[in-house]
Amino acid sequence: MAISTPPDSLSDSIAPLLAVPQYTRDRHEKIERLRDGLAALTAHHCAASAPYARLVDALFPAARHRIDTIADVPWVPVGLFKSHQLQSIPDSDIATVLVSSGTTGQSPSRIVLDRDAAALQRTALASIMSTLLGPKRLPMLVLDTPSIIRGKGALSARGAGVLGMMTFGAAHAFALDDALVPQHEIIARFLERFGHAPFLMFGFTFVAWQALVEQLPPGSVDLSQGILVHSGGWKKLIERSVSDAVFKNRLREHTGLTRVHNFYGMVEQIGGVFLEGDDGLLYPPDFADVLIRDPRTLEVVPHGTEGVIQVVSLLPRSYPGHSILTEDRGMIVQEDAPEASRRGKGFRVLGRVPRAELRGCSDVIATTVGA
Amino acid sequence: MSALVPFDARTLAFTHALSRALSSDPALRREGAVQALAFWLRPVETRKLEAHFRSLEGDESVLVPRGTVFHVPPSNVDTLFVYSWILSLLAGNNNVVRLSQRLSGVGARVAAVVENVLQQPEHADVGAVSRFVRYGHDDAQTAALSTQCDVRVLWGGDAAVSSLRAIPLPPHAIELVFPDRYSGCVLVAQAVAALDNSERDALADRFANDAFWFDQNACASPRLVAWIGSPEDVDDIAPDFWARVAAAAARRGVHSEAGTVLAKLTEAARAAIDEGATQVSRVSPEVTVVRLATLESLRRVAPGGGLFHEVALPSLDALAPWLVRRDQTLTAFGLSRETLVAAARAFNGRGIDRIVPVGQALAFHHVWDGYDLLQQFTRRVSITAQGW
Repeated sequence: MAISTPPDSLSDSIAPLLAVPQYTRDRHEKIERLRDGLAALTAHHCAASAPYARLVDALFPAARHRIDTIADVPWVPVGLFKSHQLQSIPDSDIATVLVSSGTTGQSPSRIVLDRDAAALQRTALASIMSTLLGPKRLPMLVLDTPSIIRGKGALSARGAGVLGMMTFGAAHAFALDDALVPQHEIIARFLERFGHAPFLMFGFTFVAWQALVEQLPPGSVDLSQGILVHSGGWKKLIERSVSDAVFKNRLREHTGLTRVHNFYGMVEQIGGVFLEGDDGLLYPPDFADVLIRDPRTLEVVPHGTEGVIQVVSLLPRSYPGHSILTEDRGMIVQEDAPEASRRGKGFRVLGRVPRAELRGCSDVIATTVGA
Repeated sequence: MSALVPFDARTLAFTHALSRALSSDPALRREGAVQALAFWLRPVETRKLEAHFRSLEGDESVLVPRGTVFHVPPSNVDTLFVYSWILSLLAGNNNVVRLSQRLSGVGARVAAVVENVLQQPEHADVGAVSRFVRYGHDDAQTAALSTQCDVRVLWGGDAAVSSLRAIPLPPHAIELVFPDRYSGCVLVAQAVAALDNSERDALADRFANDAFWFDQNACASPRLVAWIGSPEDVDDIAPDFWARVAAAAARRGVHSEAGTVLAKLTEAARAAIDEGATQVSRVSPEVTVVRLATLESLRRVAPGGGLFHEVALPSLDALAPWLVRRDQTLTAFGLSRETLVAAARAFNGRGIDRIVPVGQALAFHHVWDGYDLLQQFTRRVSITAQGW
């Protein structure tokens, strides 16, 4: 397999966009840089990954010749990463393999990073988080068990998420034990030392809910100085009729916590980290973007229309994940709204695209064996 | 009561009553698959079956029932359990039919109609030899029922069939299995091009009938279209054909949900990588066509819901090297009977159990997957002429 080094234009295009602060770029400047960077990445991955080149040639033949807008950038369906380990680097350059948590019965996605990609990912995440946390590392209470980051071999998505976020904190304390039960003494000691000034908390959405709301008695901890960053699926919470509003209200009532920021992202796309602003909307950083496509025609739909989320990011260079069609539904609410605290597209994630339910003989596999 | 014999008058009275009940049920009147079943149960059809059955006997043998047949049909093809059970019943057997707990919608309605007719007093003898059991994934139940049978009939996906086959049968019992299959369509490019607009639409309609009845997931639904002709011929006619298929699907009310659209795209992307697909056309949300340069790397994996592979071949014989045992039905247009017979011989058992005109992929026949079911559901008692 021929491996070409990424053209310098890639680094040139991303460096200015990574320079802090995020969410401030002029729309036109951002869009142009993104388009040029994504077009260069498309050419790079076509040259470096024969499977990706075949995909582009079969599904997006025009994109080999011209990419006029971000919407013209070929996308990879996210499910492909479950069956194929796509990479644009030789095996010897693989530094990290990210593995998605994956739903039961499905293969996980495997995403390969080289050292550069891993470093770039850290820088990118830092430039996003600094908009929330400021330039200094805050004391950090991890809403998870310490064993989540002690896995052998490839890290789980949850472990990678925790480990990634830990770089933005200091004096880390893990609030939960292996059964995800709050450790009162550890929490009390942490709050005694750091609870009077801003501190960072990170946890997966359901884990945070369970630990802070369901397992701690109301009023037993004072988290009013805390900044909670949380991520992960809402499915379990929706099953318990917990909406985003309920989530935030109960946290405030229970613990005094007022600064709560969800983020949306997926292991399949490094850099595609969309952090919730104060207005409750998710915002792409300057080096990434979202598009919403009609679920049937796959045409890009106007803002305010629900559809399938496509995510693009300038970061993925070690594998062709710079443009991914997800299986999530979403809607862009506003873009560069004057009253918004952040520039860019403010969007919501509305859940998963329902899985195809088809009739027929083959379906019996799932019925009889899986039932 | 006396035991039923093959094509017993009591059985025929029942099948005809069932035909009437299915065709007059208000909830099923619009269900094509159910009405096809009702049609198949009419007296004129059962008479044809009986004539065929008698022709199997010959001078030196008599066909007798095997005893008890245990049917494990797929839960998701609404009418299949009836075909399997009725053929066995016509052959004079006792029957135990396992129904899935998931049976719902049309399948559940069909089962209710069957039960209703069986409960009428005049069909008591047929009811006594037709047991329906409803249970979920329970190997102990299946094992218990298996010890009582002389024939076990398994329909379903490969994994399900394999795990069920591991459950023991009595030493004398036989087993019929209908695992996952793969089917295709052959179209002679120039013959399609020679059709006028309305004929092309009619062909597309029949093709859509084959493809979309069970979301393209019936074993016999075409997933591959092999065009017979030069690549230029195919380039000329294929886009027109697929546009008409998309229109036919739309007329039938086929509507691919977002999940189906994404599943098709993901599989098309895999086809580009693993099968060397040269072009993926999204003709409409319902119809996605993957063009292959060769069948060499065809994986026979498809999510259904309107994903088709297509390839250009110089002749039908050129299909032979790529066929495998899993290949079941070929629907065909533009080929003579002689060509088809010659091809079936040239395929020489590699694959293909039936070749039917486009539009009849799902038409049930008592010869299925290479078995004559009437023959399989009976034993042949041979009688040699007396005397030294």
